[in-house]
Amino acid sequence: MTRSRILTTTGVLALVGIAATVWLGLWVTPNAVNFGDLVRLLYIHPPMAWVAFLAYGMAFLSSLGYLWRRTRDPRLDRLAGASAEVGVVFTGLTLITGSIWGRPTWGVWWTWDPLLTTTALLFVLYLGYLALRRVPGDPEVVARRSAIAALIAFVDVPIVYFSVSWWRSLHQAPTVDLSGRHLYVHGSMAWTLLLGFVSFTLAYAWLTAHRYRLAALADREADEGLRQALDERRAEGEVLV
Amino acid sequence: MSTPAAAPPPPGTRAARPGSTSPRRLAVVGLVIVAALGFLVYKGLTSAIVFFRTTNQAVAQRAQLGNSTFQLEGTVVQGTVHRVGTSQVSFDIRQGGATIHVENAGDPPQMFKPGLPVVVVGHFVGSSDVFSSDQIMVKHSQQYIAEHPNRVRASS
Amino acid sequence: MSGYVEAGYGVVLVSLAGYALSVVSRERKARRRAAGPLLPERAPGQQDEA
Repeated sequence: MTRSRILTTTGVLALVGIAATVWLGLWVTPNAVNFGDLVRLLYIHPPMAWVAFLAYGMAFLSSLGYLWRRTRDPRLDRLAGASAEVGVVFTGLTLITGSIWGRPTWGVWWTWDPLLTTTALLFVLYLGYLALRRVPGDPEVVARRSAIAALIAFVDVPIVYFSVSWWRSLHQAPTVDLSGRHLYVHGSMAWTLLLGFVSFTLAYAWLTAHRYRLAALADREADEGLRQALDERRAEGEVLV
Repeated sequence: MSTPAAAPPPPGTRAARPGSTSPRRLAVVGLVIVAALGFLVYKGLTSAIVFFRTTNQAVAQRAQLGNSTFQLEGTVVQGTVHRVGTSQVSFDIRQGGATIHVENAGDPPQMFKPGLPVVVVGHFVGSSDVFSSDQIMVKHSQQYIAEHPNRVRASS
Repeated sequence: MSGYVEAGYGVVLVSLAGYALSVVSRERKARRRAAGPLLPERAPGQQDEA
């Protein structure tokens, strides 16, 4: 299969998976004790947070790869940027869906709980990272400083995850334990949650790949533009001489 | 997904990215982001690290707490929930062997019920041990249990 | 239903669809520009060596 075929397949699978998650989540799964139908937000909110972590993890690894032994591979830089941007979208969705879920269950749209505060921090940190990427300069300097920023911003990811156990929190512990040993949902609810995780992960892969391609095209366009400008200048020079 | 291969790219002049924004706009964006970061770190250090006091801690620190506003956690005791007037509710919360009587102004959230832990925001009244709150936040566990499990498993 | 659930699903689906469409359309535009006078012609659907 060609790369493009794999990418299209990923996109189709993501679309079908998300459609199935919505169908199972809204119509098939049962209501839950204490939550009533509010439990249905379970199938989308944790997957948003997971994808955000995954996206920042990918940006972290690519940035590390970029800096590692002077690889300085612009493709890794592009991948980091693409992944972080998708991560910011998913972090935004984590905050919004969390707020929508918090209002009827906890009773508040927002509170300065450790998990919520560190997640908001995560959102702003990576917005800053994306802004930093746009600061003009020599591409290699920009890429290096972006890579270092991605490594620093990633420090907040484990803090977000462990905040629930490190500090007193209103937020409950993660539904899916990091070790994978504890799953606090069962039956059709668990399967729907799992499908949500898989589908949104596929959506992440598809989005990041396309964002990466866009960045590659933009970089090449800039290169060509520069080359053309140089050629023109050179031609002018020849005419004068 | 297109993952980068190991081969290095051809060397060449890489122009400044077309995504580069004007310096003034970047300065404004940068300022906003730095301000937001500062605010969040401040909130993290002041509110998030000690998000609430437990019932037994609040009882032990009653004298120091005075009438200051803080967040208090405890489990709502069965049979103590009373509606007072139109939108006031009173109940006891207990934790670590200590009990505090809470009088809340405003309707409790949908999920509020005896047996579930809550975080209330408010202060002790005068020199009494009554806690006056204006907000109730319901804590819930990460366990989601289906209602009517018998309907799924036909015979049980 | 409460409205919160629908709002949550709605926000997620609309945002992701909007972001996906924006990325794909920008990619398509860039590809069209790249195939234009600035660069030598490339076969349609040709892969980027990216």
